[in-house]
Amino acid sequence: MAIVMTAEETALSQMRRKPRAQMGSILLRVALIAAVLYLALPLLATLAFSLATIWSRTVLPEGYTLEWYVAAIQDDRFWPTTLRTLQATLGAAIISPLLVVPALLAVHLRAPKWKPWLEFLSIVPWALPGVVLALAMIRAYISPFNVSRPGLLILTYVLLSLPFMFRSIDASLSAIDARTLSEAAQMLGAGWFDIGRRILLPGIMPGLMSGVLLIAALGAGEFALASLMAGSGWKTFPIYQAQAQGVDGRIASALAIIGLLYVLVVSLLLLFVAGRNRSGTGAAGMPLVNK
Amino acid sequence: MGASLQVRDLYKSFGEATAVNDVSLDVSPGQFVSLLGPSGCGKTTTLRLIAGLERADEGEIIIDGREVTHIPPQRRKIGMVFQQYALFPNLTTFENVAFALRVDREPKERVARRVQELLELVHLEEAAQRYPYQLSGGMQQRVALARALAMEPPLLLLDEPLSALDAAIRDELRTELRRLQRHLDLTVIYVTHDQAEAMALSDEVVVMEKGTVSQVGTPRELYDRPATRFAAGFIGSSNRRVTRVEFVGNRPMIRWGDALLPISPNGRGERGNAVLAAWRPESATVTTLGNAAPDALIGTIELVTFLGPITRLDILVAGDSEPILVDLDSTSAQNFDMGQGVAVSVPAEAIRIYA
Repeated sequence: MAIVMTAEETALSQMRRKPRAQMGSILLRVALIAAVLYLALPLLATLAFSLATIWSRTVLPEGYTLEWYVAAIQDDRFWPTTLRTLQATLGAAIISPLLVVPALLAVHLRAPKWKPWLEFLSIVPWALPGVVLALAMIRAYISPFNVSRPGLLILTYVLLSLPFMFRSIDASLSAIDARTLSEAAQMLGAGWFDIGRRILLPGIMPGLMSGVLLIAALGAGEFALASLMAGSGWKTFPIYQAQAQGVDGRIASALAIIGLLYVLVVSLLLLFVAGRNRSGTGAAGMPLVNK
Repeated sequence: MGASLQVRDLYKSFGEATAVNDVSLDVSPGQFVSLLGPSGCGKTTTLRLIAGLERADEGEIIIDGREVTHIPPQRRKIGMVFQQYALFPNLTTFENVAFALRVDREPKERVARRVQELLELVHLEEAAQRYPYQLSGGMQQRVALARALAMEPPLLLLDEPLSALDAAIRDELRTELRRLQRHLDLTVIYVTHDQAEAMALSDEVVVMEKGTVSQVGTPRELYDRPATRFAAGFIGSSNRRVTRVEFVGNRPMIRWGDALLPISPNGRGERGNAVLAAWRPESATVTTLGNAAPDALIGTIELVTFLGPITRLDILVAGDSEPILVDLDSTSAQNFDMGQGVAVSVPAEAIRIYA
């Protein structure tokens, strides 16, 4: 009898618990869908607009066409601005790690007490309004060093990528305990070249990749600084996009989708590269898109 | 063949703090030497100085007759095992062990053969393709050991290699370490804060305190004749009291609670001086009150702890502040019970006096 009672009780309590569990999972699902909609709707609208023949008084476009993509790509400005954006991205993607990695290595291997200062400095560019940053960059680099406008844009991307580069590479270095690993490698006869190539570089790869991805995203979408720094003399992709906006929003939408696809391709490429340098610390599992 | 190691008058300070203060060591080829002491005693810094991971402020380090004090660690040909293993997380067991050989540009077949040998030596053949995070702590430490041995270093440094492992694995690896050291005829410098570990493994133990060498000796010597207060307190358990030497006639005695204990006349005590007296729990004998020897301590048993082959009695001596410990073999301890009054005889020669 007692056993039957227990079974009944269990069943009862399960029934009682079920609706609550269902409620929870429904709420979770709603929250998830809301988030996805919030993120995806503008993208979907842009996509639809870029493919629309006419879309003014209807809920959905009246017809679909690739016309705007063709127009966007066939425009004389498309390839030059794309190429400049790639140049700026590549430049920043090379300079930024060159600045951050040695500094972080020094901090991790020799002078940990400097870390908070570096961390603070790396965030400053994000705390400044874009106009102030642009003026400061122009003041700091153009008059004394005569840096070219494209060079200035690259340096600005570098500056903006700093906090992200810094944090992701710092996390990678902490995860692998760079100092002890370097010492272990030294004891095994490795010089600094071997230590860098065989131990440290694979260790910081995931962090490096996410930093580079941010730079790629900046280059593909950032308008204000690009226009302030390089301006009309060296138009990049986002400037072309803004100009297209004045002619036809559908061409601008097509360009936005192209930019997005580009960032997607870059992130897949980086994911592939980081995946090949798999590391046991779990650092490789770090989300690459973190902007 | 193991290397010889001489360390002469080594100094190292970090800012204001002197970590290693005039340390000298003399290690013969094939010896297993432990640096033993509490944390902050300078043992790890001494090891890192020998490794070349720290630079000495003064003094010299000589390996096999060659002065290496200013030679970078890469060229000292020393193997080292770290406390937290320090395996390369992006490399498999095989690649970790092969690391030194690859850096040295050894031909592929030789690398493969040597790594296979080393993995067999530490019983890890089947884990060759696994990454460090897929291995248990004990296995990781075996990989670290194999990796350190890859270039056949004549000198192996171990920095608390077992302290991160649980007791059973620690015992197993300890035995294996000793076996490997004998088998490969290695000179080993082993840093530990665990006196039992140092005693069990070493040919010679260097007790360190506050950056200096407190005593050097075989485990037996350290246990039987600790030379300093510090060594007496750090190694094994002992009954210790700060007390005074008194003379009854011309017999030197020390006060212990209400009683006077005779001490060996060639001890260091001088009349009236405050000294530290120490004796081992197993050096005393216990009798019933009826059979008390004339100079015995009289007390009451407070606690009886059965420890297998031996039984430990906590005995509170009249007028004393805390109980003394006496270890008896468990058979003779059967005669005693908690609350019982007993007499404890401590042979004069078993009592060590530290000024």
